[in-house]
Amino acid sequence: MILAAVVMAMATGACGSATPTRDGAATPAPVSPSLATSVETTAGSWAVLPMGHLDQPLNTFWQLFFRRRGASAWSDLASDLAVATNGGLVLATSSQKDLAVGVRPANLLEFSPLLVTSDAGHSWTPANPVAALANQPDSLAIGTGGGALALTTTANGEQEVLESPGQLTDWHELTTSTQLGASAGGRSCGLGSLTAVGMGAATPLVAASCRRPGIVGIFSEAQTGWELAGPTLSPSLGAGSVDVIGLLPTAGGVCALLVVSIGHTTGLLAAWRSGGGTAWTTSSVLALGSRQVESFGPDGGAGFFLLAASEGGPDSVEVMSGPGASWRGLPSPPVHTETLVFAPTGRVDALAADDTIFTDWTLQAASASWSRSQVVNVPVQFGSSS
Amino acid sequence: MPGMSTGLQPDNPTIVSAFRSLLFREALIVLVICALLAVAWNVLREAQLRKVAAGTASPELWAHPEPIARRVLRIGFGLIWILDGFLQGQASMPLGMTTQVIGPAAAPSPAWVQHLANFGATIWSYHPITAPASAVWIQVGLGVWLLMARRGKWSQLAGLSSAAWGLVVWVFGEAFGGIFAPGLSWAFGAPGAALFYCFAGGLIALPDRRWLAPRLGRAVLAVMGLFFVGMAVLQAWPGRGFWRGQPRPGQAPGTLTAMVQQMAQTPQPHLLAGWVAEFAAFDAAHGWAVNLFLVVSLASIGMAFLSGRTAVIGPAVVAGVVLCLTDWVLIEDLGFLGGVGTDPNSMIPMALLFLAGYLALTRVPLVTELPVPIAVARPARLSLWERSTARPRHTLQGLAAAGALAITLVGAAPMAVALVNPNADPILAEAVDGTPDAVHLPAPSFQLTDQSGTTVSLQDLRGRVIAVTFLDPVCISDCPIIAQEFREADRMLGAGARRVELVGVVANPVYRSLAYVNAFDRQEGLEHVPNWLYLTGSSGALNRVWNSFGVQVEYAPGGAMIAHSDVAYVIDQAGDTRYVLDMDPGPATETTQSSSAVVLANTIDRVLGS
Repeated sequence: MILAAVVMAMATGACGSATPTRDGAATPAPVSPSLATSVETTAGSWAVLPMGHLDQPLNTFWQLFFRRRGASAWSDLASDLAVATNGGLVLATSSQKDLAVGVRPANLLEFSPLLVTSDAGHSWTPANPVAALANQPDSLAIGTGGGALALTTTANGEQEVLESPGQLTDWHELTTSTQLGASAGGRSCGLGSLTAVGMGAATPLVAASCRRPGIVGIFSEAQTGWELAGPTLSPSLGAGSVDVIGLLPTAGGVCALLVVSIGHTTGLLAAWRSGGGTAWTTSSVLALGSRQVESFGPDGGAGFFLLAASEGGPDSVEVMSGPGASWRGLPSPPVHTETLVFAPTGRVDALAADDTIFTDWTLQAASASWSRSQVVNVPVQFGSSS
Repeated sequence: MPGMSTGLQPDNPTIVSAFRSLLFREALIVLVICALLAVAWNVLREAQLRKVAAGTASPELWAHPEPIARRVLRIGFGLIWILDGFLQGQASMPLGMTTQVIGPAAAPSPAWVQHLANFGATIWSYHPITAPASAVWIQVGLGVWLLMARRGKWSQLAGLSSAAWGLVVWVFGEAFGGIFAPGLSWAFGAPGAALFYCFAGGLIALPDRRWLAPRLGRAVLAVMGLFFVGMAVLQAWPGRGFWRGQPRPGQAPGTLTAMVQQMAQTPQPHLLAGWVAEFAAFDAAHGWAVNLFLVVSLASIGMAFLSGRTAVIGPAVVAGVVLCLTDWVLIEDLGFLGGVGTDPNSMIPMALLFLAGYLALTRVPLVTELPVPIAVARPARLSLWERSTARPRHTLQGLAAAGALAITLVGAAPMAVALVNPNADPILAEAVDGTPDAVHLPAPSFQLTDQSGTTVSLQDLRGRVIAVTFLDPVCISDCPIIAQEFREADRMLGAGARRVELVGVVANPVYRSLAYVNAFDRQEGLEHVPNWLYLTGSSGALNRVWNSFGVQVEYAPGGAMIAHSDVAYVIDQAGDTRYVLDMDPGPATETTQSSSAVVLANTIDRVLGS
C-alpha cells in the first residue's frame, strides 16, 4: 500500500518540466552522493569525511577515522596515507579484515594511489595505482576472493572499469563506458554514465545511470558480452529514470541503491541479490521529496543507512535493514553531520565536521537523541596542497 | 590566460632592483649616444655657420613655416610619449603591467581579444625586465624623435613610427581600448588613448602639401565629430547603467558612479582625491542629470565639428577642451596615478586632435615660394659632406632625429630579441628561489633502482653531468612542476643533453614501488626522455640517500601530502656537487616554471662547459 501510494505520488509529480531526451525520456539532474561513508572490518569501524574549507577544493582534506572494535574513541589515520587527500577517499572492504583505500587525485596528480591495511591501520601496503577513481562512493570494490574492481576515468575522459584478480595488483581493463554503451544491454538502457562497481559473489557488476525510463543499469558479463543484470521494476515505476548510486557488499551478496526520478519527484529503493543467484528482491520506495542523498553506507547487517539533506531543513536519516523490512527513520542528526556509523554492537554514531573540528555524536536509544561523545581538532594543513 | 601572470607581487625586490639596474645601464648607453650626437652637432653647425657666413648655403630649406596644427600634434604627442616612457619606468611595471593593466583591460572583451592580449602579456611576463625597459626607451625615443624632427622625411617617419607603436599598444596593451567589450564609454576613455596616438601619428606622417589646404582640418573634425556623436548615442543608450547614480547608500551604483568611486580609491594627491570623491557623491545623487549633461555636450560638440563652419567649431573646440579636461580630472583621475598608469589616458590626446583639426582648418600656412632644396640649386656633383652641410637646420634636425631613433632602438633591439625567445628570463626564478649556490664538494654516493628495475649508482654515472632532485610520485603540487622543469631544461640543453643525466629520487616512504615510479613518469611524459632516471629503493636505502643529500621527508598531518625539500643538485663529470638549486616552484605559473627550467639548464650548461 505504501509503495503504491508513493508511486502514485511520483506519477502525479511527473509534470514534464525535466529536460526531454531524443527518445522522449526525461533527464533528471544526476544524483551525486558524497564520498563520506563508513565501513566495518573485523578490526573496527572506518569512516571518511571531508574537513577544512569545503568551498575550496585544495583546502578540503578528507580524513580517515578508525575506531577499534569495542573502543569508544576515534583516531585520525589520514596522515598515514602519505598522500594529499583533497580529491577524496574511497573505501572498500569485503567485510573481512582488509580495508582498501583509494585516493582520488587532486590538483596535478592524475592517477589514484591505492593502499591496503590488514592490521587495523598499523601498517599500510600500497597497491598498484589506477587511473583517476570516479567521484562515486562505490568506485572501488573488493570481492571475498580478493578480486577487485575500480571505476576510473581515463585521461581522455572515458570511464573505464579495471579488474584485478587479487591483491589489487595487475589491473587490467574489464570494460569501458563506450563498450558498455555499445552492448545490447547498454543500448536498451540508453547508457548515461557509470556510477558504481560491485562484486556479486565472484561476478563483477557495473552500475550506471540509464536514460531510458524503467531500466535499471546494472550490468554483468555473460558469454555473449555485457548484459543487463539488474532488477525489473514494477510497471508503476516504469516511467522513471533510474540512477544506481551504490552497490554495497552484503554478507550474502550485493545491495543496489536505486534512485528513481519521475519529473521532479524522486524516490529511493534498494534491491538485493544473493551470492549465487540472479534474482533480485526490492524494497519499498522511500520518497525523497526535495531531499538530496548526502551519504550512505552499511547498517551493520544486510541493509544500509541513508543520510539525506533537505534545503532549509534539518538532515534526516533513514535505515533499511534488509529484504522485507520497512524504512525506519532516526532522529535528525546534529548539524554538520557528514556520515553515520552503524557498529555491529548496535551503536550508532553521527560523525560531524565543522572546519577542523570533528565531533562524534552517539545515538542514545533510550532518549532517541544524540549526545556528544568525542571532539577532535584535526591539524589541517591549509595551503599545503596548492 | 596562462601567460598573463607571473604570480609574483608587483613590488618583488629582486625584479624591481633588476629593472632599475637595466634602466640605469641603458640610460648610460643613451647618454653616450647623446654625447656623440652633441659632438657631431657642433661639428656640423660650425661648418654650416661658416658656409652661411660665406654665402654658400641658405639657412632655411622650407618656403613656409611648419603648419601650426601639425606642430601642435607633433609637440603634443612628443611630450605625451616622453611622459608615457617615464611612466613605464615605474617600479611596479615589470610585474604589475600584465595583471593590473592588460588583464583587467582584456577581461571583459571576447575570447579572441583576450587571446591577442595574452600573446602580448606573455611576452611581457616572460621578459619582465627587458619588456618594460624597452617600452621606456621606445616611448622616450619616439617622443624625442617627434620633438626633434620638425620637417621632412625624418619627421614623417617619426609620425609613422608613432602610429605603429601606438597600434601595438592599442591592440596588446589596451585590448583594442575595450571597443569589443560592454560598458564602452567616452567618459572612461573609449576607444583607447593609443588609438588617438595612431591617428595623430598618421596625420604627422602625411606629406607636407596636405597641410596647405583646409580640407585636412575639415576631415579631422568630421572624424572627431562622428566619434563624438557616436559616443553621445552610446552614452544615452538605456540599460547601460549611465542614467543611474546611486539612489541610496548600499544600493548598486550606476556605471559612471561606480567608475568614479573606484578612481577615488586610487593612490593620489589629497586634493585630487577630494575632488574625485566629491564628484562621485554628486554623481551618485544626480546621476541622471550628469549623464544628460554629458550626452547633450557630446552630441552638441560632435554636431558642431560636423558642421564645418568655423564660427560654430571655434566655441565647440573650447567647450570640447573644457569637457575633456573636466573628464580627465574628475573621471579619468589624470589617468596615470596609482603606480601602474601607463599614460594620461584619452582626454588630452583627444583634445589635441580636435584642436589640431581646428587649427588645420583655420590657420593654413602662407606659401611664399615653393620649397626648393638648396642642393637642387647647387652644382650636381657634391660630396656627402657638402650635401650634409648645405641644409643647415634641416641637417641638424636630421641628426637629432637620428639620435632619437637610436634611443628608440635602445629599447626596440632588446624587445626584438625577447620576441623570438620562447623561454622566460631566469630573473623570475631567481626572484622566487635566489640564484644557484656554487659549491665544490664530493657528491654523496647512492645505489638505487631505476624505473626499469636496473640498479644505478653514482659511480655508474661518472663522466656525465647529473642533475638530481627528489620527487614524491603521488605529490599533487610541487613535484609534477619540478619534473616538468627538468623536462623543459632537457629540451633547452639540446644536443648537450646527451652528456647529462636527469635523476629523480623518490621522496615518499610509502609509494616507492616501480608501479608508482612508472605511473609518475607516464603522468609527466617522462617515460620517453632517454636521459631521465627515476630512482627508488628500499625504505632504508632511500632514507640513507635523503639523509646524505640533506633532504627532509616527513609525514604531514590532516591528510596533507608528504613534506619534503624542493632542491636540486648539479653534479659534475667527476662526481662533485657544483651547484645546489632551490627548486620551490613558488607561484608555479607557466612563467616561473619556464624561468626555473632556464636557470636549471643554464646551471647544467655551466657545469658542462667548465
